[in-house]
Amino acid sequence: MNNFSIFMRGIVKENPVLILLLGLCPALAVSTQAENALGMGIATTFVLVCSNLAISLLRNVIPDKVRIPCYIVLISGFVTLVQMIVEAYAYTLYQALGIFLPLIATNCVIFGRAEVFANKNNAFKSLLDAIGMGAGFTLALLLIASVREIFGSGTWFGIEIPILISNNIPILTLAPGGFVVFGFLVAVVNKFSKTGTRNEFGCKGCPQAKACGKGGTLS
Amino acid sequence: MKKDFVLPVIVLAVICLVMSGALALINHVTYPIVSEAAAERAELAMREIIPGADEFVLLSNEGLPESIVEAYTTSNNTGFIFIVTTFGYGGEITIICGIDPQGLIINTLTLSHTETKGISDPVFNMQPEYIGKDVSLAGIDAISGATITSNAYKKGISDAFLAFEIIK
Repeated sequence: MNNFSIFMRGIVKENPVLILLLGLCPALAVSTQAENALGMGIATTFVLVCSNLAISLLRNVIPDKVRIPCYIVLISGFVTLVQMIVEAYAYTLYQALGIFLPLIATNCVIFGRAEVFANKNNAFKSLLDAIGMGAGFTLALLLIASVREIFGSGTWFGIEIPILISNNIPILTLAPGGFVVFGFLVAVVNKFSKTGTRNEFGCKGCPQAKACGKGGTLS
Repeated sequence: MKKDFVLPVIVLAVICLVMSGALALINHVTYPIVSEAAAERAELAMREIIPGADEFVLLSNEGLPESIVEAYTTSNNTGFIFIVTTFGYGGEITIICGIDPQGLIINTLTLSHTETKGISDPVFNMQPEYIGKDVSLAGIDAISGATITSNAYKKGISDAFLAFEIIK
């Protein structure tokens, strides 16, 4: 697999949110406003880049037996770092993200990339993978948040949109609206993607089958 | 055999130590900025409530209702500031309430809340109605559809009055 396809994979073919259906908790929770979604996406991408790099560089040092605790320490360490920086330099974002900022530590996109990709590949490839996956995560969040903000609040990035501002649909900014928007987006993506989200059950239908190395052996 | 047990422990311990060290270093840089900004925000909010105040003096919380987070008096006796937390439908609501020496509300301000967006908005928008009210809070009605939030907000203000009665 060449470097460019490693990078693009996270954005389109293996988009973490819309295709792999990972990291849905933050994706639904902070996607009420485009601005927050962008902030969340950037914070997650930063953690993903740091953790992928660190885990890839340490992949020959970390013994297999304690790899999970090591990843947890590294990932939560980077998350705490981001949290401190955001609180100090971007307080409004810190308030908007609230509990979901420390919860980046439990985002399965980050842990998934560590386990599936970073511990088997070199630092450069892991970096590309992290940037691609982070960009895919950010774009997906931005897409969901744009739909919810434009139709739910009648604004986009805080800019008021005429007509929609007085005819907004408040339920879209609440949790049920998030699920509805997300469901429709996944349906649309499923329709147009070649591989599809879940055309087949088991490893064969899984978009990560190649990376995990068990493709086809389990079903 | 020995290697299987000792090495993983050492690696994990070293990673933990390095990460803690890095975090301590970053905290050393960001902590002054964070605490300075927090103090500045609180000062700004209090100024907004009592613009004529000279200097805010922190009072002891002893004997005050538990919901009072911080109580301040002003050095030129223009009023008292109470930072109150109260529990609404979605969690804590933090309100700043300024009461003048005669026992009338100067102004109130919502610092933070996690109430349902949209539905609870009317409660926070009726904040101007509190200005000039005394302890009875006469004429403040609950918003239908957001009763729990309304009552929580009102209770917060009442608690501020309780504290005011003790302090003044």
